[in-house]
Amino acid sequence: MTINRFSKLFMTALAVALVGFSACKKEEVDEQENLNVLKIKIGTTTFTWSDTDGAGGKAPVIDTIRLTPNGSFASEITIQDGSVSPVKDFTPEIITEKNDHLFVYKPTGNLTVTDLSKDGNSKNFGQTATVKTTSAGNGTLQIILKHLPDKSASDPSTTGETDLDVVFPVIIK
Amino acid sequence: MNRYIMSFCLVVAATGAQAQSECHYTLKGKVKDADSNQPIAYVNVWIKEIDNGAITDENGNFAVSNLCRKAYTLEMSHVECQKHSEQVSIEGNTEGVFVLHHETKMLKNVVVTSKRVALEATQAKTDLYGAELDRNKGENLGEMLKSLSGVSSLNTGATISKPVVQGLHSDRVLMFNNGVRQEGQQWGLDHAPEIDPFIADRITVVKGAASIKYGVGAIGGVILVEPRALRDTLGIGGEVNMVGFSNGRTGVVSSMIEGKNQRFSWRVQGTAKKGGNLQTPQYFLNNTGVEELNGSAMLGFKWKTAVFEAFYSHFYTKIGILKDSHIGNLTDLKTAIERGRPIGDGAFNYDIARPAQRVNHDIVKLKTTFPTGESGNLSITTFFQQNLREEFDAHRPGGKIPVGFATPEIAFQLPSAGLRADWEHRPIHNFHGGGGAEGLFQSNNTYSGALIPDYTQSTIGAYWTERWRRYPSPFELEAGIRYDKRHLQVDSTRFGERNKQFDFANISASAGAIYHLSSKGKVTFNVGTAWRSPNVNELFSNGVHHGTASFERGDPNLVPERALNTSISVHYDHEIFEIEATAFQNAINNFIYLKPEINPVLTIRGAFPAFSYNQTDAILRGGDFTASLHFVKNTVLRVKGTTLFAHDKTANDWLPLMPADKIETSIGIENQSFRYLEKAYALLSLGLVKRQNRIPLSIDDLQSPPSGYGLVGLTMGGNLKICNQIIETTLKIDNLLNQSYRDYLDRMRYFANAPGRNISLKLKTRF
Repeated sequence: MTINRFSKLFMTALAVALVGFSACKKEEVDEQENLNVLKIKIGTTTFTWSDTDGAGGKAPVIDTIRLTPNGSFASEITIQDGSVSPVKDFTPEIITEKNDHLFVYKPTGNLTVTDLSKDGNSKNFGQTATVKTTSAGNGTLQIILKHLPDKSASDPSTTGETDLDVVFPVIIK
Repeated sequence: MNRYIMSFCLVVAATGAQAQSECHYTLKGKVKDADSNQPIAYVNVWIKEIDNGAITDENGNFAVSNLCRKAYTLEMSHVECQKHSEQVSIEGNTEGVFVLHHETKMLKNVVVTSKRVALEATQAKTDLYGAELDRNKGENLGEMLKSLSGVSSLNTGATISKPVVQGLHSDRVLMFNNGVRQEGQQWGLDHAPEIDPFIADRITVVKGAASIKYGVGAIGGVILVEPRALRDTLGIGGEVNMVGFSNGRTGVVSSMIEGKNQRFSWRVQGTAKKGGNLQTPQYFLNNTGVEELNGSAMLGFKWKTAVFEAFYSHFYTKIGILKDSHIGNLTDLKTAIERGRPIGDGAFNYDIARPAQRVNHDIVKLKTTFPTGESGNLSITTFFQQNLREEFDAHRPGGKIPVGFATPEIAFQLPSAGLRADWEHRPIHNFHGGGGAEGLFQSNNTYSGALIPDYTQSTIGAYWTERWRRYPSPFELEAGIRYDKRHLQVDSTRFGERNKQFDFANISASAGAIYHLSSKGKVTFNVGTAWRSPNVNELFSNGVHHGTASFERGDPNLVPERALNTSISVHYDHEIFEIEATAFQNAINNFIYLKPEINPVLTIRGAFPAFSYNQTDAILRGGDFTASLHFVKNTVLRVKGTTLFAHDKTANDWLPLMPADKIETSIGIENQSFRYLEKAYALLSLGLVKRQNRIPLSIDDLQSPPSGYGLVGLTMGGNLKICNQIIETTLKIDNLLNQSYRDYLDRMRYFANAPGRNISLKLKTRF
């Protein structure tokens, strides 16, 4: 087809001109850092909420938190970017920025979270805490990481910006 | 060589000034052959001062309206004659007979005029020029065009404004900056046109499908930003514009200097703008400042019979975005909506912090026009342009908010190049017309962020259009056809798309008619079909849209949209009243829109409502009108109204994000003279916007549309004479009563009120 050949030739010419025009091409910067893995170690067991391919795509992988009744466990949160190798740990950065961050725990069922760790102003930070269980049963544990919240508000989770918001199913048995 | 001598003897008979305002006079003329006393058709009559004109019909008649009481330079040219200039003094409605000693022999050396008189459009269109344009200067393009009937704007706050033509916007409305198809990232709802309105001497909005001359995509309309033609008298001149706005304490300076010597005609123009935080009646909107720095240069010269034009323009803007609108997840959005206003009352400052946008746009254009023997004129245009869009978030999960503007979270570079040739043949019997071909190549390079994939896209197209009129038939007919072929190649590792190819090809066609009622009125009818290929964001979006807290999913199987647009317009220009009314229907098959999915998408930031790009058959019907009445001398009463019904035929539901009905009434006095002030006027207006009740039931908007509102505005001004220098002065007050309101098409309506009272002073002087 002559028209096709002409158009191809024409487009090639334009493309060549264009490459010259955009010769000052910048270096591609890295993909934005992503928080996509939240781990909570309760007692000696670590439970993971992970969505390493980001929003959409594959569904997140969510562990079920299994705890024994009438227990009191020390808990600690780790936050990572699991999409890169080696996995990048963001927890130290969040701890450095602890005055601007708050982990909010919203448990349901026979579960409570207390003794939130404090920030530099002796206000809640919550990267470590104590998880307590009563009798056997099912529930959930919602963990919200807030950025620049009003830590004095009655419900700080409605202030500031949400960095993370995950829900774990919980079985106490 | 047979020298052809042509002389016009001018007989101007001024009729008495009617009860009309200053700039509503009409010049009617007839061009005749002195020997045979026969009328001469197709004489190009150009009025320099208004940069507009007319073509004589088969009876030698022409008419130019909207003239002021002053002297004008009439330039007459004919394909077989030499250009001739004549002074005409307009004192009222004026009629003149222009006699031409016409010989039967053809002229050998054809003089090409650089200005072409546009034929009357068979399609609905509206334009902003002259005093009306000056009154809106200093505002951004979207806000300026809002004053036209049938045009609305889609906003992200007051500083980001996209024109909406008969309900359609973004990729469905093409923009041309001095004849170059603007290629930016127009798919984004918060991506405003990258054009400095100070370049324009006239902004024309063509309503409805208009692909024939403008290319693929124009299914909603076309916006033409046209600078004045280059200076054609020897010397140097210029213009300085200064605009100040009270709200945002915004200042704009725009200057232009132009000149012509024996060889070249040139123009250099620049605009600088700086604005701070806008203020609503209750609070300041933090981080809503704007800065802009634009410049353009034009050079024109003639060589033998060819006319050359070179054009360069640079556009730069940095726009702050209300921090409260930048949200982390759906809960945050709901909290913000519940709060209904920003946290704290804010304060005034000029600082622009994150979140913000920064855009650079460069255009280089080269054009030449030359006669192809005696058969017609050919013009060849080539352009390069580059759009660089950077967006800066005020959010970094888990970390410190980045400071400064070194690392954008989103950065796209979009270079485009094009070449087009347009040939216009000289009238053959009763036919006027021509055809052309064009090619466009572009590539998108994403440096940061993952909203859309990298791609290259090439488009070629060819068109032909003809117009027919045989006098004395009152009918004028027009038809055009176009074929375009587009190839899209997506190659993006981060989207997991390697070398994915798409081909789209189709025909656009248009047919129109004008029925001339008399010299005072006409009815125009147009039916056109056009298509638009799906954009990469519609094909490949896959992520959370943080402005709306929704997850958007593209569909690579989308097919092109096809529009069938029908419009009918009536124009009537009586001595004391004028009316222009348009009714239209735009039926769009495979209309691409965001359809809500049943299940939300679960992310580490919580669940987001999900939307996927889907297709439906849509039908948009509506109308707009403008009526002006000059009931007493030097007074005006004007009513403008727009209505739109946008329906999703498949779902039997309304389409989202469509402009609400509106009506504006203004009353005023014009043409008053005082000691230091001439042509003084004052206009009081009331603009009413209805609550948008035509919203889809199937889409959960999180917040129902805001109430309707009415805004009072006052515009006054005139020509101030200080030390022999004329300063065209406009004092404009928008939202005079400082009312609180929110507009349905403003995405900031979820978070804050629209800005309150804004007093602006606009000064313009020429030298």
